[in-house]
Amino acid sequence: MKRYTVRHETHYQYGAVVDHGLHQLRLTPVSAGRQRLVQHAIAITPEPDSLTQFSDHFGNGVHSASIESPHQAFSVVLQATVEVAATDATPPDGPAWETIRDQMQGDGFPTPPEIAELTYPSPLAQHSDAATAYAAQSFAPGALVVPALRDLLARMKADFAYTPGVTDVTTAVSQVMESRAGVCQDFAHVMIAGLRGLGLPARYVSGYLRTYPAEKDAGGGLQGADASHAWVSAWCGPELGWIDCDPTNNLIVGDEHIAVAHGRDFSDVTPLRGVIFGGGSHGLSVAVSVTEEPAEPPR
Amino acid sequence: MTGNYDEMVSGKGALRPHWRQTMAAIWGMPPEALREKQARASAHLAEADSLLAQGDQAGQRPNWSLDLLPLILPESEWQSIAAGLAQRANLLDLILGDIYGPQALIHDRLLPPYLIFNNPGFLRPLRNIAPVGAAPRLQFYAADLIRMPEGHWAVLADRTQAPAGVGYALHHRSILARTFPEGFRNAPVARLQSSIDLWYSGLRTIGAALSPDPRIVLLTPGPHNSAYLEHVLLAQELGITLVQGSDLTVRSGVVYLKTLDGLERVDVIYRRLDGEYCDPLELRADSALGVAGMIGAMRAGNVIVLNAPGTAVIETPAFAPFLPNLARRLLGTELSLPAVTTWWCGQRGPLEQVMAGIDGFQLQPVFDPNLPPLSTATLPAAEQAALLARLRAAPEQYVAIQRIDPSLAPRLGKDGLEPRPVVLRACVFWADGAWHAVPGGVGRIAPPDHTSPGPIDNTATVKDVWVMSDEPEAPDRTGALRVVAEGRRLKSTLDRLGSRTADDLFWLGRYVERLDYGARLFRAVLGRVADSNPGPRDMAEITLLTGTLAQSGWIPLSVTDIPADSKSLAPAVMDAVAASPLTQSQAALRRLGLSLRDRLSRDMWRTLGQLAAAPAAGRDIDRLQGELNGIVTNVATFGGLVAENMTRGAGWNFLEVGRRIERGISICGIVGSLVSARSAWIELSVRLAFELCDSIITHRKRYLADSYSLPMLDLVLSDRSNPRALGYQLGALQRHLDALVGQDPLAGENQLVDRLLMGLTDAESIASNTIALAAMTESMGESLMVLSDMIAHKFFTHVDPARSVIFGTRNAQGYARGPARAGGRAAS
Repeated sequence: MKRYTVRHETHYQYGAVVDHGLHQLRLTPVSAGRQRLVQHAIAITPEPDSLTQFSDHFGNGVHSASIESPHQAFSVVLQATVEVAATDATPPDGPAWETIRDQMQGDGFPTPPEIAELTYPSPLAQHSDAATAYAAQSFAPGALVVPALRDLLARMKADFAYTPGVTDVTTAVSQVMESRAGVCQDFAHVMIAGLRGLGLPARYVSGYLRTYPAEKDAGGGLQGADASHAWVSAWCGPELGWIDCDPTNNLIVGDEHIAVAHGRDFSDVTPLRGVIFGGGSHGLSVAVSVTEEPAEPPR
Repeated sequence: MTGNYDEMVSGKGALRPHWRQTMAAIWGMPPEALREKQARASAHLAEADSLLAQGDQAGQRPNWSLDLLPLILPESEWQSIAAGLAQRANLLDLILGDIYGPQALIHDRLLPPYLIFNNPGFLRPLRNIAPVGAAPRLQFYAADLIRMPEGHWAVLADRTQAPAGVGYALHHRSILARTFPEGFRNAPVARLQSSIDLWYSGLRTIGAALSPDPRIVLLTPGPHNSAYLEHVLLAQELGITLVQGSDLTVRSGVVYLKTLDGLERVDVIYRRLDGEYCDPLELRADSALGVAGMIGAMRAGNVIVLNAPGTAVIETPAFAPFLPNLARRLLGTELSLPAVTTWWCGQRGPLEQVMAGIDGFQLQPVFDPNLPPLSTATLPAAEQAALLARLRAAPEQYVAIQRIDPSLAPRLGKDGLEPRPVVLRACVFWADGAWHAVPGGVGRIAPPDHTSPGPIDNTATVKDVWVMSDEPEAPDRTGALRVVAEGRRLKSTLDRLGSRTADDLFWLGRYVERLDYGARLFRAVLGRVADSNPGPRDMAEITLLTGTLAQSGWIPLSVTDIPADSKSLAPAVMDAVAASPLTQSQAALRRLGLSLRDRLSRDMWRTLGQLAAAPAAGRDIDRLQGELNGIVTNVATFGGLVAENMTRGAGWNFLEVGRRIERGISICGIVGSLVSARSAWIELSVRLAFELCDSIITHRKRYLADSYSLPMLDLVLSDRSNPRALGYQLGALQRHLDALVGQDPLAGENQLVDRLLMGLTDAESIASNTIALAAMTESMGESLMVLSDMIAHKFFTHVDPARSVIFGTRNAQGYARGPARAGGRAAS
């Protein structure tokens, strides 16, 4: 069991006055499974005229804020304390991947029906022949699903370059397959499109990664730790359920990832999405820190 | 021909009884009279459609025609159709309730997940939003029906998004009532009006969950939508306010209509905008047609949207094979109205069945029922193989619908009656706890190759649908209801003026006058350059006029460098016309006219249409002159209609303020430019100013002479009785502003106009000083532009475009789209 304090700040500076801004925040860390949300606060400035909360189709916690007086800056600060339990260091190998594929086909009625949604293409993880063919190399006939996933993770780490700035939040999977470069979001989309292309359910996870400030530049830390992070949750059959995989860092997720939201792809879990009236050009700054606390709070 | 059922004639060759009265009326008229009536009916239809002909949809339905002969159904048959549709609507609403709620039907394997979760009509943000009060998700539903060869009707397609039909049906009925009154004489044709009244009262009952006097609006995507005509007609008939997304705003989870008096709460949105475009915050971020925050307002229970966004999920024909089971489960009964045999190919059994009898089916993409269906029976061999290959590769992407020979109904053709395959669109609506059918609909002549008719707007020939009572028409019971309906309509016309409408009317006024200014100056120049051998006076006038045009940016400066007697001047001026603000103003008028369609009278609309018609290309001076004259005359006609035919409300005031400001700016520009020219030409300048300002006759009357001097400019400057004088414009502005901002002497707009009027009285003292006069007119023109900005800022600031912002998962990768409003505000 590890205990983390997460701080995620987003500051937005507008070039001209914004008269009215509506924003949706998906910034409430998951409290289920191995993860428990101990404490959680979101501070929005300026003070919203209305702030409501609801749970979306995927079960993510959403805040909806409306700022209705003129403002030139907007910021959101998330502060949360989260506990994450360790996983089995070595999960079982699971069934042959075709078993899962056939269950999901099910002659029109997949088992379980609820997760069939994660086998279909989605706006940012469209079907890609290239991504499917790439994934297929790790999913030989009869291969067991967990080792096949591990193989895919290792190959992706070797074949794709972590290069910030070459993609943006709407870059298509097919483009990343060509350039073989991008960031965590792109790798997650590639892996999702590949798995779905094989008929396997896969979902997108947004969240955070534990930071190691001292080691960051020395290369000891993990990629993507200085911002929000993204990875993949792969369905491994009813017995194993979802197994989280981080294609950016070639690992099965343990107790150093903190999940915030699940969806089909990034477009379902966008941390901040808004419509503003006015505003002109804008500047944005984001800061994320995830620090480990003593497991038991000091008495 | 064997297969088809004949609507009019029975198997024994006898006229079916419910056709007798109508056919007696038809056969009682000579063929030429029928042809004339037929032509008139189609002309009425085209006239109403001309509002689209000017827009983006121009020429999209060149052969749109309304058949004089209706499709006639006996009342008893109609009752069973109506009952079947009501049952079906009820079932579809229950299914929608499950899809957007617990999803038990998916869990219990009654609905394949593919048909929901891979369906672009499934809008995830709507999940778990329960309707307010007793409102259904589906309030309004239409079906395309086809009569099977055996004689019974069957459902071909379900339309649940925002189906058109009722507005058209009302329209067709009113056209036939005018062109074919003989058909209605003594014929017991069911009326549509009582349905509309019930519909309206049903909407009010639904809205009563939010307010005892609910405000209901019809949300349209706007004039560029192909069904805009239907939206305008339906809003008028229902007596509810027609709005576009930019007319609405959401504050703290409540939807408001922006009016000049501030924000007014909206309780019910009657949605004619596709669901995915409704809210850029939660749905398509690139939608400029929706209202940011609308879904949130639904979630908060503060607004009722009908049909709820997301109802389109159930439009796919792939649901059809699952509906009988669902009816047993949800209604405990069988479906009374059958559907045409339909299979979703995503299951092995149905796929095999389809493959076995492939020629008897047409194939459609599962989620795009508007694409034309394909059938191996009608495709060339090569394409057949390709279609089958696509089907085998991804069978779940196809639906197979049994091919049916539709019934035949008579159409009035060139040589008399022609049997044509017909498809019926019928509409039902939910009011006061039950589903009701509108007794009528739209009959469509089906395309020859396939039975699926697609969206209603693509249809070439349409028919009114008459439900013929088995008994003679009962005495008119609708009298009392009509009074209610009239009162409702009155209420809607007195509705507070929306900010966007006020904005549009203001700019309509400005652009009409701007067009007038350009046309007058250009025709003055062209009249002189057309002369192949101009005298010195003509040449001086040409120089003065081109100088004025160039100074106000209407022609490039380079044109003023061309000597006044050069042969190249005329072509250069004509080229300049095409590139000038004249054509931009016409484009702006087209856009504004479309947007204001429901606010303008038929005559104003027609005049605007003529004003906005682009001048013909080519270099024929005479023809261009004729067109410019036409513009000047049409502007005068428009002005007359504004004066004589427009109710004196805030809308009229805004239109007039726009006109007076623009005309004032024009006068200032003309006088300022002319008096700054050579002092030797001053008499010519004054004369030209009079000509351009239509004041020569007044001048002659007043001065009994053909001489012109600088002080006489008084006639176009400070004279408050000459409608072409600046003083008149300012006086008019004062009156309109009194009505709009009140007589508050401290209001900035009033102060500005007062100052300008004061300035004019001082003008006499500088009347002989060209430099002072030029400076005065220039500063007054600028002041009028400031006044325009002040008015825009005071009244129209709500009309800001929205932008969507999405933040990335990484540093500094947020991005913004925008400005989002399609078309944007016309340049001023």
